[in-house]
Amino acid sequence: MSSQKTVVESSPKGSRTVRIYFMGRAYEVPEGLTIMKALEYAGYRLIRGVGCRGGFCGACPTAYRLPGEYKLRIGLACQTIVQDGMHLVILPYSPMEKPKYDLEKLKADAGDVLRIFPEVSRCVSCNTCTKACPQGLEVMDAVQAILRGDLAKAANLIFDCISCGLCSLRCPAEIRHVHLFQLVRRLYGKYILPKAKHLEERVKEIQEGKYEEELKKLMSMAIEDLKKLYSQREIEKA
Amino acid sequence: MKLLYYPGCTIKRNALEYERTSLAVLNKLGIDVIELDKWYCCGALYSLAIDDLMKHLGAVRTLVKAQVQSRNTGTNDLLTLCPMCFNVLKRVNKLLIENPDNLETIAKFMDEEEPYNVGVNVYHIVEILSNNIEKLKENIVKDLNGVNIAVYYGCTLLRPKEIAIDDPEHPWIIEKLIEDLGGKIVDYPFKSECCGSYQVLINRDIVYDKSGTIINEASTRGADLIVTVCPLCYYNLKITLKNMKRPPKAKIVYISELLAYLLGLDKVLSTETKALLENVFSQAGKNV
Repeated sequence: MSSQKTVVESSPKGSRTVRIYFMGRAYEVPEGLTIMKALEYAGYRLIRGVGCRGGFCGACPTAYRLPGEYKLRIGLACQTIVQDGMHLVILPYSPMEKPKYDLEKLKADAGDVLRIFPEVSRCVSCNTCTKACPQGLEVMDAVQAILRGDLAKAANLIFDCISCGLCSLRCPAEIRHVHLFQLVRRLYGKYILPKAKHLEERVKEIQEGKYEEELKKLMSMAIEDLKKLYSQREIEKA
Repeated sequence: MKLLYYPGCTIKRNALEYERTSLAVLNKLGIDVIELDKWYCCGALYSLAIDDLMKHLGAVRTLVKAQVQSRNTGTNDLLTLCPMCFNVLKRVNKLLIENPDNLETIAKFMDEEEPYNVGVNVYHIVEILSNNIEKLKENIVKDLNGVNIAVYYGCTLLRPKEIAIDDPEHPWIIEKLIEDLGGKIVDYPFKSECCGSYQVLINRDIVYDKSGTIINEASTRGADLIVTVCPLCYYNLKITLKNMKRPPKAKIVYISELLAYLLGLDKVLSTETKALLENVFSQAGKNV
């Protein structure tokens, strides 16, 4: 590609640099930067495909290859350090509509999940999703657990999913993992996990208006008094 | 005797009593059954497209996991309960044994797994029970005398003949098992006819027609019980029986439910199945 010959040279004098190829274009960037910082260093202003910068939000999934390798590697741009000769692209979004459902009317079984996401039964266990996961989750095992109705196992396998959507982009069965997994976690939380008794009690107290009066008092307080009250609050009861 | 065990999705979702009773029966016979730590959907239907290896990956991956676990369990024998899983796993295994180039293509694609050395043997529970008939005889506590039993095999244990557990035209392996335990067999011509299979999802009338013919023929010839081995056949026969205007007397059970009953393993039977079997056994005694 001709554009690869045009190297943007903008590194500070004397610093060690590596050459990366962003969407086919070469950039000399200081070594040790994350992909995200390197792109900003090269002059990109990232609006989409950037989020928490801490490896949690899933906004900056990135696919890359290293020189001499055919393996497609995966990482988050905010967490992956640039390497010399790396070809990369940020793939911040996997196109899919979020299906509508009423959680109250669903059961925590495979049947209800498959009615909303019928493509789950097209899984051929190719494992491409697992290889595409920047979180290192066993995505295929989760899909397979859903297929056999073991939602608890699936929910635990995908607890650390950041909904980046790379698995959904790579899946030959076109499974919409992002929304599928959200549904599974919701069903697990609502129907399988034991109920937290203290939470139920607290919700009941709120509904019965136990805190109304105190809330009204706070709402009518002067901002300075409110700040004082906040800084003096009891953080955790001994 | 030790066996690795591949349950399959249907067993875990819709055929829990089949699994519970099967495992209890094997346990009673002193067979150590070890469920694979990891297993994947077999694909349910064996893909016939010769260039579509992708459809076999689930089955291959399961065979690889069985190979991994064979090293610390000391057995290469893989037990299945569902005939469809048995059919797919055994045919994929055969494909890999006979086509080393396909095996190599798959191994290259699945480079995150260890290569499969085609050393796993796929078995259906009927084969295991048949090989352990002496132990079954030693352990039964109830008398089969008087109950007329028809066997319904369905399709996938018997076809294609290369992987069949018995003669696909004249299967007798389950009948022999029951006869050896002292049972009375009702022979009939439809024991390997199709029950309607997945048409249950598309057009139930096809299932009512196909399964109805099977049930009626077995009943006309005097069957008190129709014994089956496949979760889908079982489901189709049951809904057909329920839908019949004048249902015949024959009742439908898994072979493992019958054996669990004969072995006195009542606590693994559902109340419904236990009542059904008790009823059949008490009635049959009187009629004869």
